[in-house]
Amino acid sequence: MGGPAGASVSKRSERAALVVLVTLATAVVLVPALASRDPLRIDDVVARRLIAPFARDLHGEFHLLGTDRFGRDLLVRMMLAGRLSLLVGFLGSVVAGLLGTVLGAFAGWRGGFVDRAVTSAADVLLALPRLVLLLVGVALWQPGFSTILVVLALTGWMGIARLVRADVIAVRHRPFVPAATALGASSTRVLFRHVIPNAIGPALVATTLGVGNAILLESGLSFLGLGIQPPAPSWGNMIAGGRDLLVVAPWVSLAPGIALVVTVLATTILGDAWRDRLAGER
Amino acid sequence: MRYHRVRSPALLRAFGRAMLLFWCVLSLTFALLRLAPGDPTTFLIPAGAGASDAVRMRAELGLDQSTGVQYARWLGALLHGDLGGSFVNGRPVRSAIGDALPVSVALGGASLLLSFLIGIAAGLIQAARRGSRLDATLTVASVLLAASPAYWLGLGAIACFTYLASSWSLPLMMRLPAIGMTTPGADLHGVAHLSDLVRHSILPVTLLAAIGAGGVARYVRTSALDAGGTDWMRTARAKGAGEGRVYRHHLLANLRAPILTLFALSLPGTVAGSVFVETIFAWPGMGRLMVTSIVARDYPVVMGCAAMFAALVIVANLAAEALLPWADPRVRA
Repeated sequence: MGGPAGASVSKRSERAALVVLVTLATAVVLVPALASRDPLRIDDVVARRLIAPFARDLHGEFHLLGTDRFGRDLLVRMMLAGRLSLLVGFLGSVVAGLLGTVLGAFAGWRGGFVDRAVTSAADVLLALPRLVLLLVGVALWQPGFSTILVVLALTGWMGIARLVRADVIAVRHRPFVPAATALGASSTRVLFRHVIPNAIGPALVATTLGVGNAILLESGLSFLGLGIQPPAPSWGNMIAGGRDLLVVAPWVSLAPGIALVVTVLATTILGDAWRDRLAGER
Repeated sequence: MRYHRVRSPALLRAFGRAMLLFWCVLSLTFALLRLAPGDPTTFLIPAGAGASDAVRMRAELGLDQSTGVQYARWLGALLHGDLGGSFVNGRPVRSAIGDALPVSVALGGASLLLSFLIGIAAGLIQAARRGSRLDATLTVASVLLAASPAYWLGLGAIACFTYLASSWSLPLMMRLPAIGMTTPGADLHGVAHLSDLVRHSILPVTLLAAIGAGGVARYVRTSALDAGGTDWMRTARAKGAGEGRVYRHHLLANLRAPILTLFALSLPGTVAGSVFVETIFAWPGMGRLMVTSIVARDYPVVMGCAAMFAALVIVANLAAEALLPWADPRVRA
């Protein structure tokens, strides 16, 4: 939407966002793997529970971000939750992006019945707010990782399909398309080799911007108890777990919330930066 | 004169399309819920009930019929304005929604209005003072708000304005209630009731309005900056119009259509925000009704809520389409 005059992203914040995401991805893989204790195990609750950040429990173990009400280390749990959140956000929007690209491209390329079918399917799905669709979707199956992934993908493709469809229709009449056809390329080959590569830019940007949205939606569903189920940690259900500890132990809800904001912010900045670059190229 | 003759059939056609769309959405929701594995009665039946009770319950709820018959019955009832009864407590879905809808409309409407007032003002100021420290601060604030989960901000607000405020023993006026729309048990009337309601609304409405205003401000800023370089802005300035007049008469007139479109598109977002905000602040609105009935597998109520949300989106889009010629006379041609 934002043209060149929009909030353009500086090189420095783009680099910072990239560094944050790479660091987070590394930490998410390494920290739980290196943890001294099983992050889901609960033992000696009295000695370990609700330790404040930067403090040691009665066993002398140091907890950088403190512990929750069952004495589990919050840093390790946050990183474990980060695995799920990043994976769900990334996979959910990439699958939605692929689905949207393929459907939108076929709709714009073939026209006629295919076009009408895809456009009306998108219209129907867009007539419900995405959160309502997600809620109805998770009501279908047992809540959990794969359910969220499927539902995110099935409710996230419509905007991208519209973008790609419009771009394919615009590209279809450029001279290189009849040229490729005249050289004997099949219709499918022209679509995938010549048309889609020229129409994919906005879809890539929208997919990147969708990652943050998907992460937020997953955390929201988990917060409501309809997403990732405890004891498996997710940033959303960790915030929910600290909901009645706001006075006693605010860090339990604070830390996963900050992780969420930082992650979503970083993906949004990257998406915006790529959009700026795309707008500059055109 | 001519466009009237052309426009009315176009509007009629748009209305017909909207009705068709509404029917498709409802059928989709119906199909999705009936596709769900598992039987709602297994969630509803009390522990210790026998198999014959389950059979009777299924018959009472009409679940023993084929899906086609269920769909026909449901559609027929819907055409008479009957949304069925709740699986859980037998209450008519219409009265459950009738109780919840005004709450959500008031919460969403107040915050949407506030968010557009604040957002448009902030966006215009940012565009006028582009590159200033104020512009940068407001941009950072709006980006941060967009990246934060509404429920997390809500918990933070409750922690600050309810718990911290009372532990610092601030005067009672500055401590805000965290839960519900009114003080439970208090039998208040007239002005006292109203002020109680307002005190309970401050946190949820401000939260939703702030989140919305961030998005509106970013959009208005971009649109205003895009317009800033156009020929008609330069012409207006060259005529000798002051900056105030240029903004009020020329820029705002040209932003009317994009803002109208944004308003229509924002309605579903308000719904999404209200699901979390209603849950956090325990407001008995549509979002909370939807979540609780999904957890309880109360399909008729879920269907009713989905129908209301779909109607909201479709009507908003239709209204935006109908109002567009007013907002942007160029599309009348």
